[in-house]
Amino acid sequence: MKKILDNPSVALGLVIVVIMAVPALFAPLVSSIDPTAMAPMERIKPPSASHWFGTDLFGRDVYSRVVHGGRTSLLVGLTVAAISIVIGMVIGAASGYIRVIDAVVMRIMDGLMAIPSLLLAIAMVSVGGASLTSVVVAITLPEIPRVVRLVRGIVLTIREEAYVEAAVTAGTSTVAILWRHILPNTIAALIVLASYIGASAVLTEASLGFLGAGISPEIPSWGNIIAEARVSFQIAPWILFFPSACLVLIVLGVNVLGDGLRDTLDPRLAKKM
Amino acid sequence: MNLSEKTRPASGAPVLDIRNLTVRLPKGADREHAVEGVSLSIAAREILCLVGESGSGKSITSFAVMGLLSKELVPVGGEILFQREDLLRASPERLRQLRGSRMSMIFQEPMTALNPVMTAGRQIEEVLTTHTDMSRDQRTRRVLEVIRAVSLPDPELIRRLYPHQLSGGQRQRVMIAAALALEPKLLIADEPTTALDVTTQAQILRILKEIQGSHDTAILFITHDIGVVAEIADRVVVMQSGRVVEQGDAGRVLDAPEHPYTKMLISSVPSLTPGTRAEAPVKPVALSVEGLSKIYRGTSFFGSKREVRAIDDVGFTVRGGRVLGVVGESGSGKTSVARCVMRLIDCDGGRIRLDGVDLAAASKRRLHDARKDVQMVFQDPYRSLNPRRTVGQSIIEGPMNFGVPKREAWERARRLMTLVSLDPDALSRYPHQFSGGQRQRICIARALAMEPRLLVADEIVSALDVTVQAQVLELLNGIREKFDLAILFITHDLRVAAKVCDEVAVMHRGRIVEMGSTSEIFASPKHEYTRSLLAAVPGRTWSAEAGLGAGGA
Repeated sequence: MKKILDNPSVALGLVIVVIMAVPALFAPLVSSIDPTAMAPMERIKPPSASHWFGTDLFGRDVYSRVVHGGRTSLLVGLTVAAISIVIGMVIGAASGYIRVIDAVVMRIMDGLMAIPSLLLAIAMVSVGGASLTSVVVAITLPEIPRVVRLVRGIVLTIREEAYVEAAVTAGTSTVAILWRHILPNTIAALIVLASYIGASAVLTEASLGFLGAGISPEIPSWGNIIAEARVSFQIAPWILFFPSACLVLIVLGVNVLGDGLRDTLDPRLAKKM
Repeated sequence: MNLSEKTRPASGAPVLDIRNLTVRLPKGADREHAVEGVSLSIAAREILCLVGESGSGKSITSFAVMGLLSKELVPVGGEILFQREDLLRASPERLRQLRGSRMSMIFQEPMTALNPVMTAGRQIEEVLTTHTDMSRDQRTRRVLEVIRAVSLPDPELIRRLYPHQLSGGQRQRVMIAAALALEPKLLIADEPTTALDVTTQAQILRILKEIQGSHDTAILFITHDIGVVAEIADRVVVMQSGRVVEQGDAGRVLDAPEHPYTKMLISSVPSLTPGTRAEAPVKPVALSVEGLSKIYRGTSFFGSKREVRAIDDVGFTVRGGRVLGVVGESGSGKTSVARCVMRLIDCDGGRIRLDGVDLAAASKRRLHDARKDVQMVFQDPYRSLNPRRTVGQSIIEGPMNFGVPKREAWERARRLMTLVSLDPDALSRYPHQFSGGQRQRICIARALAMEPRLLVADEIVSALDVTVQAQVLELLNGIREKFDLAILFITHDLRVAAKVCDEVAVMHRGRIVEMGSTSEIFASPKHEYTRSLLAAVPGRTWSAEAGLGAGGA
């Protein structure tokens, strides 16, 4: 663990992510103002001591909105990464180890990969309505094939190892072989991939919010804050600046972290991505 | 003794003179220096064999000569004089000029040493394009000349083939041809025959001897195989842990070794004469295989079907307490036989009977129960233990699959560790903390933990150094006696087979061409192929026992 932290990218990325994540996690504690409370008298105020990031067109506190919006963004990033990794790992392991289903599964994955996540999300939201669930599902679905391919590739090489054959001859069941002998080899690569998926999910969610196809506007998210701020950009640039800066920082932080982890945990991947 | 017949090397200034070479290892390695105070010299027309086990520093010495040491390895002392020029102080440009033109190297693995997307001819020509300004026609002529010099048939054709279209031996000859293209003064051969079959190895060794006779080249030949040394060396340098422990004329070192390490190295070499074994009472048959066949089917790029008969109507029996050796060259199907018996692959016909159960046709359930009775030890000790699990976990996995309580399985693992001469407390350690030989012992313990009736040993000593090899074979012999175990012993090395097997089956192209008791087959082989295999064993005219006998006198 100490060795991993010695990598400058890991350390820098981790610092950025923690700085961004802590306020979002403790949003109610760090901002006492209700992010949805409107105050017509306080409209379009530049940053000040009482409103650190200023106020927006409805007089809502931008700092509070950004902090609460961060919760949404990070929640989406984390859930998308977690769900796609878990599902992808199961499908990938099955596909790599059980040769019969491999061809079929991989063709389905090829099909999924052809769907752009943004379009799928817009379609799902227009059919089923905007909710956190539909957004998460829409972003997760096209990410799964990436995980499946990675896991399957590793499983295909590891299953040829003599120690796996030794386990077969020792009468170990298929599930136990996958769990004990094969899947531990995928962990390092999956941690790295999870960071990339998380970062891109945060971005996709923001894009959806910006396009008005994301989570409903009552819940602040960086995407819909930026979308609303767009119209008043010239008179109140701070409304646009702060959520955008946060978005850039968190994605940068996660990506730097991911790069560092990739270099320390899984040198094999360094050239592929 | 064929050593005395060898042409005496021409005297004169040595081509290569290494004096007191010391190369430092990076911090945290098991010793401070990779090689320390190594001095040796080679004259023109001389073959010097550099012998030692893995980690002895023999390859590092040769890499230092070629200027190919990796960055962490720093030569900190001594000099390497190549035709009186100190290579350690030469500029990188100068070294590049020398490499390929005046000194060249051939490697162990001919498949990876050749570029797969260049034809054999182009690879040889590359040396000429880099170092000379020959015209295209001259280059082509020279390429054909050197291809002919390494006894490859049809040079015009070989020149246009890609590496994957050549066999291992042919590829190694192309490597030699490329190395010889500019008539280098020094040729370094780093285990050039280790990855090859015995018959191919014999051809390559013959070619190297011919080169020595027809060119003025000095050859530094690195090997771990004393048999190969006996076959081609003029002089021998023995290395251990980075130091030269003994050097001298090949005949003297082999027949009258002075240093205890050399003596041990030579006495570990199994001889081709089968050991005599007391006639044991005939035990019941443990494994009987009848009409076994396996066909690999592949579809080629244009859709035509390809069929390879890996095993063709193979049958044999192994009795309890006996060892049946299956010998053959690569591609003979011997490993496929082992894998079929283990049901790691399904066979396409035949019966594999173990205790009345036909493994070939057993249902999943029956197979699961039968797995207990047949266990395997694999070739590569570095890959056959899960690096993320302690050796204890690896050993108890099998018994626990069959319902042995954890405490009991652990007790059994401790007993087995003692049996294979390892510390029982080492069970909680991870595989990387053990050497290759120790890992192979652990694998044997893992197999025995299942209390099997049949042990399949697939090339279990071929990745090990010769002294370790001897110990593992010794252990296997003890186990066979103690547990009345039937052993199916797969090997390519006839010397190893002679040492451990009661009976031998010789496989060639998927068929058993000859089978019988070890002493019979080695004394009077009937099949043509068996004879050629035996004739190809390196150093067959020299035997370790005779050598040591003379040394002890």
